[in-house]
Amino acid sequence: MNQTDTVFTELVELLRNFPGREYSGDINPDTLFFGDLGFASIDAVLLGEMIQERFNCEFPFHEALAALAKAGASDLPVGQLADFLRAHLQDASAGR
Amino acid sequence: MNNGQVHTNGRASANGHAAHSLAVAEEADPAVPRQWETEVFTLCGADRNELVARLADLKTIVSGQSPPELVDMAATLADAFVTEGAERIALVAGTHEDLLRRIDRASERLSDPNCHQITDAAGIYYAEKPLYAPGRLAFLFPGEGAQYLSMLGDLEPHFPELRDYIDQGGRIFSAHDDGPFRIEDVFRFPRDVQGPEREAADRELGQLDRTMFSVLLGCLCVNEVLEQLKIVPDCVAGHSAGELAALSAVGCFSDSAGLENIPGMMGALREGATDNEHAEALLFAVGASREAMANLIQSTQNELIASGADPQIYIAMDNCPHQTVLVGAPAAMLVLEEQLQARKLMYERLPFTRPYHTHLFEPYLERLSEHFVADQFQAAKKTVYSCTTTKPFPSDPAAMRDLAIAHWASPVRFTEMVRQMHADGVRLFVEAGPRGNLSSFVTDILRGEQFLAVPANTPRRAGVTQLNHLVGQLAAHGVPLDYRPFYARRSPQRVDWPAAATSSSTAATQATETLTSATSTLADPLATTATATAPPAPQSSPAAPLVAAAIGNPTQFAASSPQGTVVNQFFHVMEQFLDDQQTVIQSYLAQRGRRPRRVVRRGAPRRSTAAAVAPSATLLPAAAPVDHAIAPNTETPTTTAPAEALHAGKSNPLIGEIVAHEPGQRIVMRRRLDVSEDLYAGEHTVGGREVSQVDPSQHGLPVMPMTFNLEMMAEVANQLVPGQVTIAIRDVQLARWLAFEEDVSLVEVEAEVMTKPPKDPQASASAFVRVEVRDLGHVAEPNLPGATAATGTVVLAPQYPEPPGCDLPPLANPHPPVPTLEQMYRNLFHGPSFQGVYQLDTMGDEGIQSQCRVLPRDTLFRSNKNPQFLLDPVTLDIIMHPSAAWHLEQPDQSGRILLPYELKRIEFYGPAPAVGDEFECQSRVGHTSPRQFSHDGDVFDRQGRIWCRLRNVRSWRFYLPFGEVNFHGPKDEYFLTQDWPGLLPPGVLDGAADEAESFGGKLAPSDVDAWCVRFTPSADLLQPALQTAAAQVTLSKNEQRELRDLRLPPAEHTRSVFGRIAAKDAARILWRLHNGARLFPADIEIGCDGYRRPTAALRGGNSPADFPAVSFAATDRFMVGVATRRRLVGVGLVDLEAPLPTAPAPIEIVGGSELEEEETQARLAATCQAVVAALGPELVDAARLRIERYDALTEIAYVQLDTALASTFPEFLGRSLVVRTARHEEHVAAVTLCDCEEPAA
Repeated sequence: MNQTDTVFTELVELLRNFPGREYSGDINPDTLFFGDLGFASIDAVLLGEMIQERFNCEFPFHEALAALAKAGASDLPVGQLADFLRAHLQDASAGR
Repeated sequence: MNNGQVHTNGRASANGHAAHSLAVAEEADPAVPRQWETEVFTLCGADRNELVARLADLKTIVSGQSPPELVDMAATLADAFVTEGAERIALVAGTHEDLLRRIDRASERLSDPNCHQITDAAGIYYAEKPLYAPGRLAFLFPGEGAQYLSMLGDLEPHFPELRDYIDQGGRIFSAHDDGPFRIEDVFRFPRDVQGPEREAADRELGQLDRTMFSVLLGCLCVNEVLEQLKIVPDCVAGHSAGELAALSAVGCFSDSAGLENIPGMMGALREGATDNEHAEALLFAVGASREAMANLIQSTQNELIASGADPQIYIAMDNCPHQTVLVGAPAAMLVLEEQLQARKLMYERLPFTRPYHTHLFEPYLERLSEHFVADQFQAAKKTVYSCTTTKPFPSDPAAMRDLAIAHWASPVRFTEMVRQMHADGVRLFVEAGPRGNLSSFVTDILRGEQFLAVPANTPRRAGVTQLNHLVGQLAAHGVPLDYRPFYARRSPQRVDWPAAATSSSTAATQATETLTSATSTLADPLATTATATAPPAPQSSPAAPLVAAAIGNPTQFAASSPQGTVVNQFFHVMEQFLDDQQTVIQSYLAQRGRRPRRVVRRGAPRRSTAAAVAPSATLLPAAAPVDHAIAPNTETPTTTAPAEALHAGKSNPLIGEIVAHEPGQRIVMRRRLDVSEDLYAGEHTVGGREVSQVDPSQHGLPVMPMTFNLEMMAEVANQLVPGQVTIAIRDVQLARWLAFEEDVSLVEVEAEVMTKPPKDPQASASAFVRVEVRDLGHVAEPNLPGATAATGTVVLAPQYPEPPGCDLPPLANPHPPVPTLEQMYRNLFHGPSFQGVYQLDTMGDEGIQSQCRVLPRDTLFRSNKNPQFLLDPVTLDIIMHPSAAWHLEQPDQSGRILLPYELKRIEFYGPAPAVGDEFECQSRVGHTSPRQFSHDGDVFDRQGRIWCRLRNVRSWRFYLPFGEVNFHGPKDEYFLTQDWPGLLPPGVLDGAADEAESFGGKLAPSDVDAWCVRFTPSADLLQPALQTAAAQVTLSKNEQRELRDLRLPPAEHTRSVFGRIAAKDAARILWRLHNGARLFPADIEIGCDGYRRPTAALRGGNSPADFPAVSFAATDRFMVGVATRRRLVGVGLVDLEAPLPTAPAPIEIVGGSELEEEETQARLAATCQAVVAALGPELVDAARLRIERYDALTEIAYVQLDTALASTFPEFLGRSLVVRTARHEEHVAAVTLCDCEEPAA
């Protein structure tokens, strides 16, 4: 399983086991964080903490949020979040 | 489908089910889409097994070859919904396939004995232990920030009443703002419009008035929908502006509360609301807790202070453990932003620029209070929690009003409030407004606890879908509701439940029959002939129509209907809010140039200071209107009688001359306020007592204590209705203090017996006397009819009532007080005749217990050594002192002065005590906010009986800069100004934070021969009363007299007073650095010489020859002072926001600056001012100066005098005077010590 799949799989596991929240529907790369999964912006902060702990890496989530705001996006596909994590994990492993 | 007819659908499903079309109670509305994006399906059963069986039944129906439409199945189940004695499960689905998936998943979960709750965001909700009953349900109303384009618009077709509300709201808003923007368009903005058009619309919405109005209207709409669903809260709360919606929803605003005066153009509200270039403040929402932010703010402020920048950053909102909203000055927030980025914290810049929810907004609350007069509030029909106090609102309308106003300048303590609500039993939170932010906050706050938080609307789901999820979750938790309105206009058809053919089906049928025989908790107002409200048996019994819930006609907004009343109140609130916002913002913007209070920095850590409890000083703001008008006195004053005649013996020591008397009806008394007679005033001086070493008798401003006002009222009432005792004084309002100035003044007291007793009269009372105290000004020129100083109602009775027991709560967390008595009195301004507290017993979280003693009275009046008071005003003053000790233990000691303005009531259960009597005082703090403070007190004699009881003594807090001492402390240690080393020659204060620190605490070297300070008076200090007190304690008596004689206009008076203070501070610092001696500002006199150059000299005529020379310059809101050991010094100052004075063009500009630049012009103008000031305006004017060069890099200008002047100042012939310039925010200053540029080598 390549890293992309691994990242996505682990992310989905976190989403399905988010404290106080469950989601039985299908989660694919197009599943929307807010609209489909019902998360709120506060949940994003907590999820960020969980992701950092799971992947043992600091991610610049504030940059991601700023980019979303700049792009005028109102929601975040799970796949896009996985791509973001993957990119920064690669940077971290490359020592950048 | 045939409306209004009963017929049978002849089709039969493969499973033998028959679907019957039903008569409908009313016409289907063709405008209402029959199909919704999703439907909610609630199933009820006696236990979990029955639920599983019901799910199986539903699956059978849905799996059929021609399954019924989702709306029909959902409506059928809605009709059968019960909450009592049953288990429930709810599913939300948009297609049959989705529904089947939900059913399968739900069945699987319910079959697991370890499953106790299902909260599946896909749409499955179940609770083995429902939270409702005993858990309580709360509505939360969001405030600004919750609004969004297109919000709730998709609900209009399904709830047509909302259309009327939105239209009505639009009409109200248009009356305030006749621009092209329409509030209705916010709700009806097409969801599919994206890109620049949506961005532009978002920007339009971002303006303050539109933001708040639209969110309040959104709350009204959501509340309407919840009412239709018969979801009834046990309590409510609001967040920021949402608090108004909460108060309105529970009927706190009286029907007469609507403002009829619609304000004019709302340009002030629109101005610069989202324009960051002109932002008053920046706001960040940070993904971190309040505690984490408090630490970060502290470290950032330290950094800002070290750099001399404005360190003001505040927590405006504590929303949840992962969100805190911070607000501060733009420059400070940018520094904070760097810290946030360095820590990789998630944050977002919010599109607001106003510092609401911080004390920066406090000076403007008085305008709000004028609109929110007490009679607009009435007791709430349900509990309303306050985001300011985190507790329920008080029931007293006046207290409710004050708290509603205070919310705007107090941090939003949402986290604490929600925790309190949960502790009080709230388990279900429904967000009754758009967006859903509050629900996510609650989820974060109560994580790990038992609760449910659901928004009624979110931007990322269709409106009806979110309502389905809301209903599903509430239904699962047993909340009584009626969601049949979902189907009222969609002409649903009843679906037959599957026949019981098998044992399991028999069980299901029996369960169904059981269910149908259960009493429905939901009334069916239209089912006059319906045989059942539950799904019928398989036989083709007469079909009962699915009922439509009765819906009133909201367009009428009839006040007689509960619905109409709430709606009307909402619109009244919104109108009032718009009006208030305009006046508040206009006031705020009018004073925009006044910078917020600066932190005074003297390097050393600030020692604990406390707000002086000044229980007897009175002060503006304006008092509330007097209930019973007393006709102004038009009689002319009699000639001034000798002082002895105006004090009629030992009794009634505050009675002067009776000028009018209608026994039993009305009386008017006048009395001189002469500090030489009223010696007590000399021991009650605002600004403190240690003011001058040269004249130890000089103190702060003597004012009549509030309790002496009360004594005066009682004595006058006693004259009017003799033979009675005063058992209470109530509804006391204080509008201004009665100051004892050098010239004797006159006070008038008018009392009138009330023919109609006030509300809630005391049972034993025999008479109520309304009293007004008026300040007539100088006795030689009385200003009739005078200015109201105080009003109150004196309650008289034949005898004192039996004393009650103490009803004050015991102290929480009792412990020995940390402050000592000495510390307490050091932070008050009372002299020995008032220092009657002799022991501080116990301190608690909200109060203090202490012991006090009645002091001798022989020093209170010159001519009366044994005053026979009715109430003993000195002791009444003393019993309020222990609150000052309580304040000294509080964590926030930053510049607060407490001045009382209101007293709800004071009750007496015995006569004035004898000298030497001792009492125990119980003080309890009531409401505290950054702007207000209230407290109660009970006073017990040695027999344990209450002698006196105080309820709701309210004080305003005022912010003054505190250095190492408080405003009332010794003035030789007190500095109002801040150092400004940038205008001094290099080397001074390099890298140091304080002059003492710079030189290791030793005397400064001789080349430190100048000092410069700057000063921005706070809005509070600029209030006339406090400004007068400041002048009293910083100017010598000669200076005060001179200023009084000049009769300067207020702005010029302000510049003169504070400019002198700046000059004196600079001189005091320089003198201390070189001589080690501390000086009182009142011991330095600022004058001017023959050339109109300012001079400074020690008071008393023995000023040393080497006393520093000074100069100062001032605008209305900024002052600069310089002192030097050299001969000449001059300061210039230009306000960049005022028209620029002209300046000669320099011969040369270096460093890249352009002459045309405004700031350059200002620097050059200030340069000329400085040189003129240094050489003397009598000798020099700017036209005789030539600016040789201005170096923009060093910000130094070089000025030469013309040859004619050079003869007067030969030392400057052919040489250039060095003038240093600097900018501080919107001011440019220039300072010259008349040093000359060194010639080039």
